[in-house]
Amino acid sequence: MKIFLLTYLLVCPFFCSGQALPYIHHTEIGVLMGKDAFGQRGNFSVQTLQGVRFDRHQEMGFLIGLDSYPGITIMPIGMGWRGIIYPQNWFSWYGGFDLGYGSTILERMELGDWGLHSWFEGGIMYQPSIGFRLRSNGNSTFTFSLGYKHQVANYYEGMPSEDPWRERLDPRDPVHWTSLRRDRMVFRNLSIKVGYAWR
Amino acid sequence: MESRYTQSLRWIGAAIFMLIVFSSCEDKVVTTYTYKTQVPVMLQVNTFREAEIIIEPGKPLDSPGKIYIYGDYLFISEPDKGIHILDNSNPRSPSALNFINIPGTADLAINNHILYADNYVDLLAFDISNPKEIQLVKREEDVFPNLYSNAETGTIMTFKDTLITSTEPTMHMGWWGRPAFRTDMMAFGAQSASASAAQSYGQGGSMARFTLLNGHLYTVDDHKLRVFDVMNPVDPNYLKEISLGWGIETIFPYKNNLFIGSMTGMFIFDASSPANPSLMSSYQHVTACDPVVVNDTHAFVTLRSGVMCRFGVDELHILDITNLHVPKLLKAYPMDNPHGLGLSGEHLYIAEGKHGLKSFSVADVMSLKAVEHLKDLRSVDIIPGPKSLIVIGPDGVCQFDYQDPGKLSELSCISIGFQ
Repeated sequence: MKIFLLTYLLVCPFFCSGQALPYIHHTEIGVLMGKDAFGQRGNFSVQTLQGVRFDRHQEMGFLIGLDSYPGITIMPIGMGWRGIIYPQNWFSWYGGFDLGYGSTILERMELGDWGLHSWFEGGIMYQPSIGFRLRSNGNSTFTFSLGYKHQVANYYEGMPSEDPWRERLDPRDPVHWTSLRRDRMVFRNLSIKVGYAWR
Repeated sequence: MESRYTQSLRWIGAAIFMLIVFSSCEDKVVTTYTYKTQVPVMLQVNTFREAEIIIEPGKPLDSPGKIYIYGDYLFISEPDKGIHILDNSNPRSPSALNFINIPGTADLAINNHILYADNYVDLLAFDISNPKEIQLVKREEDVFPNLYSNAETGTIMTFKDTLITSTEPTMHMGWWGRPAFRTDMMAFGAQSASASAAQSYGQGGSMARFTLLNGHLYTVDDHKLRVFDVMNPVDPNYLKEISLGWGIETIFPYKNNLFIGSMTGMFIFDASSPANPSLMSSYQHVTACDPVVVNDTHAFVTLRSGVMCRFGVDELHILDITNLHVPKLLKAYPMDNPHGLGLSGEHLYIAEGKHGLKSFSVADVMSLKAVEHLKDLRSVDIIPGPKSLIVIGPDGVCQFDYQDPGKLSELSCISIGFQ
């Protein structure tokens, strides 16, 4: 949430000018390639950025996506920036930077044997990328990009402590657990994406 | 100005660089283990035997354990710390008198102005005939030897809650749980009000581990029933112990019998020969935590689930005990999470933990009628006392007027942190 707020404050000078800026949409689909304890992995990723072009070369907006990692599906939510070298040309290099929070809202807490609770929590996501755009007609382009996607997530396994008075379990309060295991996972991905951007 | 060609080369170079660098990246997983465990703390018996038992002025409740009433006085224990004494002559405004600081205490019972309480391995007897001038009159040593780690050197083992965080997976094998005798889930209290010749006993809750009957004090810990002769109240004498298996939790006296609740069932002892209680029968059920209350014909047993009672169910079992040798289950009723219970005539009060306090009419045990449900009153145990119904819970101790069994009316509540 803090990241979200910070990003919003950073971009507000562009958005909050009161001037009507042209809307842009950029939807991408691709693979996230990485290596885990079991070897190489390739995971599906989709993301859409909805924002504005605030000068000839720069676009910025809110993004939401869906990344499927082994055993966990993460929904990144955040802000994205795109810088385009030659926006008027049919071919142009561009760079991007996405920053946000990878939410695990799609994952449910599970209850196992002996009352063992297991659940996921999200973490920071950032993704610098470079690529090129090919204009297909006046206002739309195809995009091809390579990037590095850094995604943090946490897996917890906890055995609640005996307290008949506790109304709800707080994952962050160790007093609520007899034992608590936390796996802080950092997914480091090479992202290869194709996309479509239009105004 | 650089040419498009050079610029493209630069971008392609950057892309190749990213491919090489980032494709070799590996995911990182850091595991941390946090355990709440109980670290053994060794204590020499002479350190607490030589230390003076301090009677402190009345102080706020911190973590109430069990309740006990004797005359106009209300006793509230704080496990491992001591016992609060309150003047309860007016249940509408109980007032704190003093606090007996007894380290390592868990239970209490009162007989003829003599209060018995455990102090780690010893049993203490206090003269409370003047609650403002409490005197320690006897220390019966080494009667609860289960705490000894080395009896010869006088070392006892107690446990301290400790939180350990580690990235070492071997920590996974930490052990948890505290010895049952010291757990506050086994809150204490004791018995129905009764009086035998020249003896006047107090009244505890259904989750008691100390109780008095026919001039004898009976205590239960995890495995054993212990018998003390208290015919001369100021001079309690340890007589014997009887092994009961495991998971012993509560003891409730009725007439000449002792009803002992354990995690696996209920034991009925004949205590007509008080120094030699003998097992008459037992009623086995699934593993669950279960206090007991009884009247002439029926035993009411609550079974509850919990971490310590892993396979537990949440039920009220009503048993026919007209033949004490053959207790028979009449009916089981589903409950939310029943803890202690109290019986007053044809009304049964059940402390349902965080689900509140319930009352039932038990005039027809085959068709229990729900009378009232105080959902917000988180409760552990109940004493239907002569002046008020006393309910203890994690938030404090509340008293109710229960002359109209259909409608409890609150008289007073002592909250945690307030006197």
